[in-house]
Amino acid sequence: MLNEKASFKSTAKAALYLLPMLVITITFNIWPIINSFLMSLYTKYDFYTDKVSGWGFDNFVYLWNDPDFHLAVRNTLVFVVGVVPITVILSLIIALLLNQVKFISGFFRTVYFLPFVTSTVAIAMVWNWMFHSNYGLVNYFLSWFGVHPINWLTDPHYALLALIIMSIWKSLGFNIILFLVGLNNIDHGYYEAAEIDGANARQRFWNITIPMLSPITFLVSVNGIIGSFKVFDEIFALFQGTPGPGKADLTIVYYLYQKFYTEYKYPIAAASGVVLFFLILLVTLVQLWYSRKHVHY
Amino acid sequence: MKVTFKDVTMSYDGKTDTLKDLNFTIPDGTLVSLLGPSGGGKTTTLNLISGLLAPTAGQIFFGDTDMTKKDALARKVGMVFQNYSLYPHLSVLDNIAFPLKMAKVSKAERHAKAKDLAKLVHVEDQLDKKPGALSGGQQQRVAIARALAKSPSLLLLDEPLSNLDARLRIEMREEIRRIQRETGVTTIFVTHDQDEALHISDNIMVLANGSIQQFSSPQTLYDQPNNLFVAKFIGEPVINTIPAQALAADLAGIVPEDILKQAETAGIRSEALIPYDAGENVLAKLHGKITQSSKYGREATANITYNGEHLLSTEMAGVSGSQPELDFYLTKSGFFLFDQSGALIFGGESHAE
Amino acid sequence: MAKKLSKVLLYLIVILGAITMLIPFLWMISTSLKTAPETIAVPPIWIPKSLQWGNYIKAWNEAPFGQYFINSIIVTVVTTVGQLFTSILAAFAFARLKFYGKNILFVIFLGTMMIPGEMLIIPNFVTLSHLGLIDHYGALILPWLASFFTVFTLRQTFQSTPDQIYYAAKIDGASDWKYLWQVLVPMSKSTITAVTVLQVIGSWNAFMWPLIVTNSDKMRTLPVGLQAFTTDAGTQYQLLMAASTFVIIPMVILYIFLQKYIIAGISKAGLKG
Repeated sequence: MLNEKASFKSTAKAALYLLPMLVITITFNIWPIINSFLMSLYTKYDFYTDKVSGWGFDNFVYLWNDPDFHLAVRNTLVFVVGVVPITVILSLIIALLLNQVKFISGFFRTVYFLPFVTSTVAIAMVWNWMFHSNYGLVNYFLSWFGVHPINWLTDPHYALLALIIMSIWKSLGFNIILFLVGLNNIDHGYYEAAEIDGANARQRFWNITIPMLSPITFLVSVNGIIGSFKVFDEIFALFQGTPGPGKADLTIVYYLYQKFYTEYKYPIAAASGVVLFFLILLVTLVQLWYSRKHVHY
Repeated sequence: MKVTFKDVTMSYDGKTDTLKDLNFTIPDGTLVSLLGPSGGGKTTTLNLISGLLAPTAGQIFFGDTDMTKKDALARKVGMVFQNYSLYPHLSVLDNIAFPLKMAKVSKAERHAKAKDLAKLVHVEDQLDKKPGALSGGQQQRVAIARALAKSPSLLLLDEPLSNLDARLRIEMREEIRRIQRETGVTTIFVTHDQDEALHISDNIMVLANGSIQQFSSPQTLYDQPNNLFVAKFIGEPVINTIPAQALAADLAGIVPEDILKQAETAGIRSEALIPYDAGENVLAKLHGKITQSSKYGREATANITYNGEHLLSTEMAGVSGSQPELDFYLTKSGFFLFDQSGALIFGGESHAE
Repeated sequence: MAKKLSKVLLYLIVILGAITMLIPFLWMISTSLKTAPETIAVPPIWIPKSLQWGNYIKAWNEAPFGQYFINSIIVTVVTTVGQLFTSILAAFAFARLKFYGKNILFVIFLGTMMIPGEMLIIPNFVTLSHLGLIDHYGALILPWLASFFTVFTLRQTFQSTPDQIYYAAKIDGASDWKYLWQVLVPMSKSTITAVTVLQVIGSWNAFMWPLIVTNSDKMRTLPVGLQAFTTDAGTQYQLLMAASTFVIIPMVILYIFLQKYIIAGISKAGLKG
């Protein structure tokens, strides 16, 4: 009956419903979370026997002293700073424009969103080809403006930029959709009220649209930052299984992958995972703190 | 099926009692309305009968069987909800047949039964539509058919008409009455609309503040309200209530002195104030002034000032204007005296003799 | 006049943007239909003289793409169906059932959503290799059979269906199990479709995990197989682009048909943050 309280019997019943999900999440989510924190503290570990014979913070000390890891953190941060603000601003602008478009707006929406559904690996192949220094489309277009061919994928100065350009292209659609939803959710009454109060189009935009979109803008930014922290597939595919020329595109997750998969240094890889976790935690905490204070819901 | 409540108490939060020590018996085959203001415990009572809620204390019997611990499924009740609660993804036919499907009745059999019921409630031409394509009245008919599908021991209706417009409401309440008569199923009907309750029910249970104010036939409810609350709640226009003191002089010698002394409030139905001496039925002659009269449709009302109190009469058509000061008569029926606690101490048939 | 001009400008920008978004796709398809010399022509050729459909057959045959396709389909279908099943059950428990520790459990799961999945790769790899499941469907599928994100989305939908429908079903004699499958799930069709489509896209395109847990052609999924193919194809861009095209096409078709649901799903998923 509806007003029954939780009892042993009802808990047993709920447990049956939760069981399949619990078995999987405990094995492949909860336990691994604990495990990777533990593993980051292993100093002597034998994978084959799963035996641990030493504990400590050596792995973190290793990361602290590893120039590769410094480079990975630096590249990741540059990547985040390069991708997120431009993506947010561009997708906001496009969403605002699309919101004005009546004629075949569905078609435009489909087109802008297309990159989201495509395989990162497959489309990165295409970008790899477009970034080709001799026959690539990008250099061809740039030549119209008198720009000399750039070695996008082989010159360490440009390799990260190439990654950033492709990532912006790929993530625009998702954010545009979110902004469009946000724009749709703005109550028309606000605009009518403002119009009666004598606000012109520009004033209405700055005083209604922008503030009302602030929660979505914030959300899109945070999502973007967290997603960008984890960039991997794009690099692997764009640079054909390397972290770019001169490790120019070595990011934290790529570093983790290398330590883990090619060097078999599991504890160090786990430690880099823990660092990633704390970076993301930091962003999340800033998000919580900021949204409590500033975002007007 | 006869339904009996024995000392049923219901509390949602463990602190305040939504229902307190409810005792009643609903006879088999009747249509009973639970009437009262919102928050009075009507829906809670209905849900206790349905088995959706379990009482905090007390027992609930169906016939002579104790059903207190049994859930909705075991009680075999049919229920119609205020917002119809049809399954939006199922056709009308499948909606009606759903309880039979749950009872593992074969497809052919349940479809045949569902079609019969659809005929009973007059939706046989809508069988393939989804509920969303039906009007409110049609949806309600489907909901009734669904509730009847498993041949329920009881048919429970929770404010079934309140989402319908006025005209449809009248049509549907007649329908419910007809269907109840045709099937003979014991029916319990929750409403906050007295008009609805008065028209449809064999008996009305007035619930307020978690207890039964009165449980009787509609006529008795009107003619002999148990207390001031019922008197005020039932009847349109609302009964005139004035301090008994104002009538003391005119009633001296007519109403026994000890009763008059206890009386706190007098209740006078608007039709109990008449402009002529009706003889036998008249209780007292009063003197007052008509301050305003109006007429709309077949209704005429007059506002009377009497001893500084305002009274409303619906029987003064034609006496207005020309003679603002007048004598008028108070009839025996429709006049009540209530004591300090609100209990009836004079009036109603038993006292009026 | 100014109004008309701004309208023209608006369309111009939107169309230009759309072309930019489309260029990689157009270039991919164009290249996939060229001869080898045409691919490196300067200036670039957009429409090849004769369409080289043979490139597709050649690419298909140069690597076991048939096997990759089958693997991708198996992994995607099993992952999606399995995850949907576990999530529907769990979401129902969280939405309707009463049990001890419900809130604590829910908060714990919410917390796990914050953990970067990349962190779990190492311990999961260790677990699965001790189970002997590396380079097996098991490794590709098992870890993804539950998703709290899906549970969370479904729970919200389940909670937003009217209580009265649940009561009506109880009165009609439906057990919780029957209510869930015969009423709640069909009623939540659009959300379920949305999470399903998003999951299908995610599984189909997944790269890092399949890359790590597969090492034979027999088990590779399409993106991993495509990645491996680049080493073999070298600079034969027309073949690479043909292969990229048939990796991308299934999801594009799915997207065009189920666009409505994908966008609804994203709005739901993205906006809860």
